[in-house]
Amino acid sequence: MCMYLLGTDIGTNGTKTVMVDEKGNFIADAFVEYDVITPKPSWAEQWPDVWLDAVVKTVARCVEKAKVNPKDIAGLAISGLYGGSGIPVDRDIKPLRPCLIWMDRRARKETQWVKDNVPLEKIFGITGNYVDSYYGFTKMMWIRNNEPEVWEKIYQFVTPKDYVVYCLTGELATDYSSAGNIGGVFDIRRRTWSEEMCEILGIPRRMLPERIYKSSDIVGKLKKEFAEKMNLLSGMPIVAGGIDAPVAQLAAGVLGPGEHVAMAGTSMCWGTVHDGTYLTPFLVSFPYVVYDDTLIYTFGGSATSGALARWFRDQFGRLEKEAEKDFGISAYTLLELQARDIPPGSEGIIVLPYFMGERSPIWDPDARGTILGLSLYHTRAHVYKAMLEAAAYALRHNMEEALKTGMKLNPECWIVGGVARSSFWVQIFADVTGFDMKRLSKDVEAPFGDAFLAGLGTGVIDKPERIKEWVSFRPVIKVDPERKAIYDRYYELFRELYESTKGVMKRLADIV
Amino acid sequence: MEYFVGIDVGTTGCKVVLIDANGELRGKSVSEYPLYTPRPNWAEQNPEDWWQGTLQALKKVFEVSGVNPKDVSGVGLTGQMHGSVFLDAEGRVLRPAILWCDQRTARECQEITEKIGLERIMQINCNPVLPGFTAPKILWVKNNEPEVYAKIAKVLLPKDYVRFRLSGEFATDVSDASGTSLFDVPKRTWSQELIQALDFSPSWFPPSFESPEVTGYIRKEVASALGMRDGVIVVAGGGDNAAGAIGTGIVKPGLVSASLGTSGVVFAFSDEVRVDPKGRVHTFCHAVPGKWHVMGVMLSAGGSLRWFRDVLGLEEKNMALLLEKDAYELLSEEAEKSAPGAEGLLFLPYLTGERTPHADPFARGVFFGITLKHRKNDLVRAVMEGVAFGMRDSFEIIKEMGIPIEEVRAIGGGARSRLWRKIQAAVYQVPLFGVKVDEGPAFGAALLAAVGKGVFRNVEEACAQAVTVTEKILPDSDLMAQYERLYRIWRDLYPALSPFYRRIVE
Repeated sequence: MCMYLLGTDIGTNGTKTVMVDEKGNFIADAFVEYDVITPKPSWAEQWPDVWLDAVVKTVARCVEKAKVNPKDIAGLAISGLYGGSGIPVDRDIKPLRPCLIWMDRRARKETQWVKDNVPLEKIFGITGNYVDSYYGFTKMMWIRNNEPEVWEKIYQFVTPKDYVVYCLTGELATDYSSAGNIGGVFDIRRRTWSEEMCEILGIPRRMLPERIYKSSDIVGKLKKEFAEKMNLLSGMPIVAGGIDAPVAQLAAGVLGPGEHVAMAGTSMCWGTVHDGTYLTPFLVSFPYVVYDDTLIYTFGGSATSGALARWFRDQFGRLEKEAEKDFGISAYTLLELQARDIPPGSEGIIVLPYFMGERSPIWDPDARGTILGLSLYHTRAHVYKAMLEAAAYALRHNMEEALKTGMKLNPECWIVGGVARSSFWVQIFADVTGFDMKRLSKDVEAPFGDAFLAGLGTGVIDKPERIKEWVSFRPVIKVDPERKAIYDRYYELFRELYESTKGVMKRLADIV
Repeated sequence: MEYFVGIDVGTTGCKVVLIDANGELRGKSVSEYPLYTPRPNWAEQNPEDWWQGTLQALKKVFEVSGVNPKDVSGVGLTGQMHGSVFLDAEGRVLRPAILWCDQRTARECQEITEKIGLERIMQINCNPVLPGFTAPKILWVKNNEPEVYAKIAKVLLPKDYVRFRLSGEFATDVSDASGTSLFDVPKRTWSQELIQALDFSPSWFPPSFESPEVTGYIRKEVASALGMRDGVIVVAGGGDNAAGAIGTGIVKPGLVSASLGTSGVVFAFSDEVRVDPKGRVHTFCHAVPGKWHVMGVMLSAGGSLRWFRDVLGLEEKNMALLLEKDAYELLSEEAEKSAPGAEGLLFLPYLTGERTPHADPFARGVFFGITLKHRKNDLVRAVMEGVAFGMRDSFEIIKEMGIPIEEVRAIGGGARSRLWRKIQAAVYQVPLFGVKVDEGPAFGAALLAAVGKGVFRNVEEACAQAVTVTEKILPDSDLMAQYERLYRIWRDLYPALSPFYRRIVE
């Protein structure tokens, strides 16, 4: 008899649930959208009930669409966005304020305090990560410094998906990837909270979850009230899940050292796994979601990728958008067709893609987008192509930081996400980075990884290696050595351009 | 009633204006001709096209104004500067004219500078030898077309070629001649030292006159073909910037014009010869006898906005056609929707390299500080502000030189935008005025003709009578403070980026 598996990913802008069978075949899905609360520029928050609602709704709809017997559904695993601070809750597990999510960059002073007061060797030595307002622990410190009345009442910080798991099961816990992603207070080698760092940073150990599970462990059983809302049987196992980036990476089939994948959607997340020896303060590292006790997931993220193309299309591609409506050809494709014959480097245009500041490896919230090299000769298509190239330069920058640790990467990089739909863009990624690009045949996303984890946790799937049977690839897009050689020179300029202008970017950010 | 004609031999076409003896505008016309770029960075025109264009524009102006050609008493000439027309002993054109915007002579500029020494050139001509100027063009012909060089009997500036066809005389004026690299600017005469140092013949260069002086009379055949009477005077006129300044009334200390055409020009009157030792701004003889002017030139001013419209503003271009509105006006309206400072977005307007203050042919345009929040209207505003900042650079140098800046007159296509005027006033930090008749150099040339005929006692009187300033914009103090902060950051971008421009080319 065939068993079905549910996977849910709580994303920044929406929650998606899929149902698959035990071979990973798609059965049904459902999606709910919501907005991030941004009370000020660079602030980003969310009340957790929005997430709980979305999970309940999408699971219910997905089960309804699938028309399978609830008996045959083995379990559900939930992954979530990186929840930053997590939700501060009181003793009754009631949220005290909205969660400061990963996008929130308000903890500038706290970040600076850590830089000034905690030696890099100390924090990096224990946690495998350095400091940036991206990390959850700086956001916890912000709440402590700015909202003492909230701080006093905090019983614990709970990550978004752990909050939902708690509501569904009554069990309060977290998983290794979620714990590690908080940074600062997590000992990456011992895989537990670091008392010493808690002390240094002034974050009481008791505010952090006591129980840390593997991502494929069953945390608890589905409570009756929610089982009814979601058309599921009460008592169905709920599996821990993890941070969405490594779960998506698992969905792409990454299991062993050397395998690496670029997930390029609105933003870009590139990651790989290793045995824990290849750490760098410029990238983010925490336990992986399978082989949680041996594998470390290391990733870099650029804040914009597909967002660059979308911004350009929305500002300057109104004609293409109209044509898309009339002829059904994507506006992006139409823009690419115009850029088709423009040589590598866009004849001297270099774009810095820091249109939202930048995460790794430069960790600079004040970084800004730049378009350099415009002349009367250049056309709109030149600028568009240069935007696509910029996303690829940013990927290469992250890869180089990983390679600097001595890590070996396979000569081919897997690529998934909206950006991968464009073979034109993927070719640019190959030519800029020097890695052949291998696209997955289907757009695998975190929910598939969640469903897989649900399968592992409930015993429906026997071992992590089965994930390889879930994925298939399209033909490889090869690096063109001639174009690569040209891009090598442009990439060098790209790197120096930021270095030469970051001071001016900072001054500009200060007065705006 | 007496009438006067101003003829502007421009780069895109010939413009003619007709004024009456009170200095009132009575008619104008334009006739276009082609520009040839046989190679990238080359720019040439056929002198014959200028002449035919002049004749057409003259005929047209009589038609549209209804003025009887017989009532015209004088003609003033102006035109694009620096261009070189090579004539043989029979007055025949030897090759297409090489224009001011032609960039082929980098090597020749170096050759001349090495031969004479920068210091000496600055003493005599007051300006470094630039690729657009005349002397390096002559040297280029010597180096590359010796068979042409061997036949040279005359080298004329564009408007002076038209003068030759119009009156049969060889003559030039001091303002236009200043841009040849061969003219003694303080002494207001050809420099025999420079001419001889380069082995050119002194006989190639026509006698120079002060701008309102009469250089000759319209030839009989030409006059009768146009229906004009005999004895119509032709005055020396001036280079387009100097003549334009007459038309704008920049004839007294403290007056400065800021012109946003394709290029941007900051033009300041000066009682005496003042030279920027770094050669960042030009010092030329003015079309006001015995006076000088200092001038900063940015290459892509209105040109930057036009580029934006053509490359990134397709919708505005189409809408403009549909609504029969000026595309710049539409862009300007968009920019109004953005905030001052364009939410932290900066633009460097070096789309064709830059002259003042950087003299860098490799410089390129840059948008800096972009975020996903920025909308197209922010980019438009950043372009307008970036151009104003580029002009401000010239103001800074002119101030450094001790030249007073009391009142600025905004002219050129860019001045038609209210927003751009407001931005300019706040960026330059001076009261900004408009002028009633913004018809460019041709209007100034017509006034010079009227002075030559004795209708006015002198140029100053002509301007007092004919040039009326309009709307005064005082710089908004908040805006001024905000732009001052941004300008300080903007100004530091070029030095940070200049190494990249050259490397990108490689």
